[in-house]
Amino acid sequence: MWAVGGVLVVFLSLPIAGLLLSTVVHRGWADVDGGLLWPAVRLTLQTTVISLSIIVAAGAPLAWLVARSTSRWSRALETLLQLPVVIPPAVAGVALLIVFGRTSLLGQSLAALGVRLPFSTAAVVMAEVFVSAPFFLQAAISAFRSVDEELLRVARTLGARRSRVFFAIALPLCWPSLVAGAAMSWARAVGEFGATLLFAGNMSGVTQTLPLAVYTAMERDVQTAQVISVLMIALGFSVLLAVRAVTSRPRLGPSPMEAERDRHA
Amino acid sequence: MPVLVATFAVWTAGCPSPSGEGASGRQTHPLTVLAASSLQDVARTLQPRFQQSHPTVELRFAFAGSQQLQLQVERGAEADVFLAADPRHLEALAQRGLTGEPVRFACNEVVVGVPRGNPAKVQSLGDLATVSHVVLAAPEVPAGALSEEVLSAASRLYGDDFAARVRRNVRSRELNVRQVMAKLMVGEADAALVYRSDVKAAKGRVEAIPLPDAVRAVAHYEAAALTHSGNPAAARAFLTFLAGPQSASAFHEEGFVPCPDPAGAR
Repeated sequence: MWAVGGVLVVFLSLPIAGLLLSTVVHRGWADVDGGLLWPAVRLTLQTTVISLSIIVAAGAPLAWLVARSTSRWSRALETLLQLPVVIPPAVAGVALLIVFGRTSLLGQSLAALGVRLPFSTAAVVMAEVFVSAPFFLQAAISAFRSVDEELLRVARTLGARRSRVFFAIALPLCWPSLVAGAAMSWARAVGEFGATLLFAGNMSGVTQTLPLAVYTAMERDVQTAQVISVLMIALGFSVLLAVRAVTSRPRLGPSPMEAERDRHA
Repeated sequence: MPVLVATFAVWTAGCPSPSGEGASGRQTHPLTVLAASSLQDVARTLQPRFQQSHPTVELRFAFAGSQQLQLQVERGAEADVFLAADPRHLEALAQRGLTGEPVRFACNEVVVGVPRGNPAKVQSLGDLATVSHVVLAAPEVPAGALSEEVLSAASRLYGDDFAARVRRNVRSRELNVRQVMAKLMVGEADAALVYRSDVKAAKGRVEAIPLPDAVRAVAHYEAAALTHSGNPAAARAFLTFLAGPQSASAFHEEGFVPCPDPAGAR
């Protein structure tokens, strides 16, 4: 079994190892254009943090409602929320243009208020939210669904309001899964390319995120593109490591239900 | 809407055209041609004309930005001929011994492109300094490099700060000229610098405004056979065809212009 799995491990790690090695051997970092790299780093960090905040703030309550609901509508909604994953990013960009572009009804109304979305940094955030939200939502819905019904019933009989149940019980119990889901969502947002390119455009400091900078650098010379790619890998890897470290801390003692059972055993 | 999606898919991804059908039963040998993305539409006319006189050769095109194609050739891509929108790419490859003698086969005029109906009422190149949404190709792309030349040359007509004023209105630097065209077609750009052949291919969805005579800019397309081609005879035949009258009429139909210098090897 290890042999079969091992092949996959090798396949996934070889290209990354090759990229790292090639960059080190050719000392690519010496000639990197700082004017291309640093605005892209700043912009990517700014936009992905904003996107993630929106997704978590709006997504956690939504996931809670969907997870605890038993109606048919919530099932349909759950499927709808997964759609952006199966839509190719370029198509998502086209879709965003159709709805929010200058020539659309909504776009014209927004323009009347002085809001122009295409080619703006806000458009980058919108593209990132669209493609990465499902990753957090799915993890959150699964996590919230696994919360023991007993706990929630007990809390409500003790007089806790719905929101108190959410903040005092669900969140503390589910936070490792939520953090892991948020990390996946953030990683997807960082790597977002197609929708950003089509909807937001490619302008250094405004809409040129790290992936767009890599693609632009490719047009000049592969070395710069490689170095930026290595930077992105290092960034992503550190975040994933940090998330793993934070979420695998051992639980402090048994859960209330387990404690109750032990007492009666 | 599906039309828009399909347009984007074809115009920005640079997919290879369907391979020509070989004569029934006869053995056909593939000839892989790497071509700049601005040649997508004229290739549709070139292909059957070449196949007619060369039925044993199966022409296969792969379209992308010329700079991407240069990269692919440097990395050993399996191809036979390279059609570039800028002689510099072939020069770079020839220096490394990867391509043979280049042949100039077409020229393309840079024009100001505006969406159908010209919503921003652009009259000439000078208006690029005043409209709010200008889109250009990235400087690394042949069309983008030409755009930079146009903006610098235009300072003679519109003042030293013309280029700077236009740059303030530039909202995006696209990575190939077809993506610039896409921004025009969906109305997100008020004006852009594109090729006349691109406007022709857009079939009315984009209008062209010629540049003033003083700043005329033309892209020179050159072709060369790759030295490691598996089919050098067919590659030579294709280059000869490109320099010939059938090809010239095809380019003329698609909006290309006669080259300022006589066509042929440099």
